[in-house]
Amino acid sequence: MSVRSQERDKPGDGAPLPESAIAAVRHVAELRHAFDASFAAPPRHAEQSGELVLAIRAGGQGYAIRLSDIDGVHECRRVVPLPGSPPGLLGITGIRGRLFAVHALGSLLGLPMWTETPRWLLIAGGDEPVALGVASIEACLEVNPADLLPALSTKDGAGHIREIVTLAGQTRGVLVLESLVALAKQRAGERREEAP
Amino acid sequence: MNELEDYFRDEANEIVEGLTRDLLALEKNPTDTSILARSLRLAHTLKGAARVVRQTRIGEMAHTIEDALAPFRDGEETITSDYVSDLLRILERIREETSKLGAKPAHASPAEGKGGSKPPSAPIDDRLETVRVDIADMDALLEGLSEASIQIGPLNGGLVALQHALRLASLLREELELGQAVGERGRGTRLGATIAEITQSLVHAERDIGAGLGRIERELGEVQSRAATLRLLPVGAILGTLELTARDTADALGKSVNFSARGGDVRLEGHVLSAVRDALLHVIRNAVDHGIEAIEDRIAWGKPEAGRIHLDIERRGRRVAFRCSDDGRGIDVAAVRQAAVRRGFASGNEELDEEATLALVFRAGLTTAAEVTEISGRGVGLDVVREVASRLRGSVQLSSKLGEGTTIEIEVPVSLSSIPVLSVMFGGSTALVPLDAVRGTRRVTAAERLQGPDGERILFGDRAVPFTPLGEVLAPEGEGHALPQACSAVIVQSGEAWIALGVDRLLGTMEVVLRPLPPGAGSPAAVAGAAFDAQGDPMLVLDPPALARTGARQGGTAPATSRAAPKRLPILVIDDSLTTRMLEQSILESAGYEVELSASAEEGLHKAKARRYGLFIVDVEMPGMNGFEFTATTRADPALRDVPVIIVTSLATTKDREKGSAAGASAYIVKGEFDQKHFVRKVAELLGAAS
Repeated sequence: MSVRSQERDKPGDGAPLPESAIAAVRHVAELRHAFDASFAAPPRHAEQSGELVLAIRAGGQGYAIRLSDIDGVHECRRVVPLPGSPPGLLGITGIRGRLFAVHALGSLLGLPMWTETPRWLLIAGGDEPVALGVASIEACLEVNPADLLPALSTKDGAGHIREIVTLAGQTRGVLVLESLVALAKQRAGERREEAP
Repeated sequence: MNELEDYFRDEANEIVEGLTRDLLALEKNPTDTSILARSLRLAHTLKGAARVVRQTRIGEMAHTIEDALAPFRDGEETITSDYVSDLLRILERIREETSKLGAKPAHASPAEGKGGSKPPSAPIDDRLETVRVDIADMDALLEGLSEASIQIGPLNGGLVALQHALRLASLLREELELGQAVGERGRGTRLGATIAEITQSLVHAERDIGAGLGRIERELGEVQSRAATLRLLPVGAILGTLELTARDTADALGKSVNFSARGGDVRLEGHVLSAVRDALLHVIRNAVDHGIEAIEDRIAWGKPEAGRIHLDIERRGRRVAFRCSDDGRGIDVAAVRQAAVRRGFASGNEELDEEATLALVFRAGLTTAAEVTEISGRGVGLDVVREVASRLRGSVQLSSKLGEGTTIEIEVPVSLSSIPVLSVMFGGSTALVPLDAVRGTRRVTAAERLQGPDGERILFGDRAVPFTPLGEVLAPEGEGHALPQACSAVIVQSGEAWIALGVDRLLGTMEVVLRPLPPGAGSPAAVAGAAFDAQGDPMLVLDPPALARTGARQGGTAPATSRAAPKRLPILVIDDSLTTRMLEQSILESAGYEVELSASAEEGLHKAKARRYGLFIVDVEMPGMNGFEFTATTRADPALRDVPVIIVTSLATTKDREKGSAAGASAYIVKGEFDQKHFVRKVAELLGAAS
């Protein structure tokens, strides 16, 4: 596992910010503080530790992902498009001498704004991994497993959310990567039966 | 032989371990025939391998195990625990025998005799020359190397920054020199000296870093490609064993065999090669035992004394085919049918065609051999071939001609293989075309891309090859990168199909490790896989058969006149220029017409009298009779006057047009204004009117 991201996407400097932007900046500052605090805290024993969760943005929406569900986070470098790809399959990329198919996470979630250029790739899928492209990684936070609550509605995130979590005052859906990876493979024409 | 013994020792140990595991499992599940079948195959493989290295004791013991297991195959009798114990004891003895292999006797080396006190070399010494590395470790090394290469990227960026600083320093000095002219003489001199020093220092840094970086990049690239090919073994590595097997089997049977092979330089992953070797050993043993006839029989049949076994190894895109053919007696389909009935694989009442019957040869337990020999005849062998092929997700095919020989082809997919490619650039991207499919390259100007009803074509030698910009193949729905006025074309052939790919430029040839596309990438047409560039970014490797199919969809190449002949009459094209003839032929054939060619009007007249044509297309300026004369002559001939004539000429004046019309031409097309669509339309019009 290599998690290179800490907090990355800073808001623009200089120009006066509207109310909503100020709230967003405050929100990011809270996330950043929590993120830094997770490093500053003394190491604890495994049985005491909570669940590490990544706060990400894809397709213009904020989501959370359990860190234990992903096999790596890498900066998105060159993605080479493939002919005749379905929408959302951005192409292939090389990470440490291995090839990965890159799927836009926003597209898998059925979000209209998925065409953003991904800055980060989340590797998931076990033995047959794919790379899921996300626009930004906002924070990596430790949460109490009890704070991961079952999602009441699975409408959002096209059925790929089973839990919700509140990070720095904002409620986010926790994505089920397994079904998203299955969907990615199904879209690529590789598997038909697994995707929801 | 030592090297072979080493291989054998490793293999025998693996087989003995496997057999031990299987026998123990069989003891617990005595009715499980799949374990029994696997044990039989392992014993059979061990027997064969032992024979190759002339370890007759081990061979005999393996033979005993095989014999002992055979009666249980049908599942009618079950194996007992005592029986298994006996077999395990034999395995233990095989283990003891294999452990002796490689231990040289003290008198074997004269050097040791002289020294007297030097201890005999341990078997381990030989093995120090090679190491067995886990593939996962190898991959970790490759990943590390790839990462190291990627890290050079930022260094290159640093070098660019240094070069920029250098430029700024010289600008500053120039500025300062200008200022010096105005005043502040003393300060300027001091600053100037400092800047000169900085510049000097930057020049040194830039030179050293630049040269060092270049060297490291080259070296790393070299190490990377070598390390990548470490995972791959040339097929040549197994040819020695196969040849020995053929020879030894023939010796044991009193036959004579010549073994030959082609394609040994194809490189594959070790585990694929080792499985294929096992299958080929069975194929070869079978070929010698059942295929190649006894010497006296061969002489009686008028065949050379020595039988011939040839192995052809061929890369086919993402697969490699091993085709083993012999010139023996072939397979007697009737005998196979009888054997199948005997073994209960067929009832004898159903209709089995030749193909279905030959497929039975791969069934476990089926043999046509009248008697069980030392070599084969137990019906274990060809089922191993089928099993290996299916384990590797490959296929196996058999064809045979009674009296002439048998060919067995095993085709397996390869996940990694190193291939030579032609690297090409289009629209800022690099793509790789496997070199073995490239028939040539040429520069093409826009004028040389001939627009036809089914797409563009270019001339390559005497062929009009379908032309497609590579961008259209790789991004059919994309924004489409326009090719420059003059581009390069890569002419690719696969089977009968040809295609010319338009690219911005050619970058050169190189050897790359072809990797399969990753999970989740689908199976895009025209892409065989990918390879990494020096920066660790993927480059697509094109799939020639799929590319050529793209070309075939466009209408195939001009000389392929097999296109369904229309009911219309053929067209006769008369022109002294080869290029014009080929061009017109390709356009017309693409449109579905049958075309004949003549290089002169006289030859054309001759042909016209011998066959009925629907249309003449004729040039004007030709040596001998010109096109106007040809037209006038045919108009005067009652047998030919109804056949319309199109004059295609570079003569563009009104006077010339009038001459054509006066001679009786139905249409007059000027080469300089040639438009294929108009041409084809005119042809269709006139042919329709004539027929």
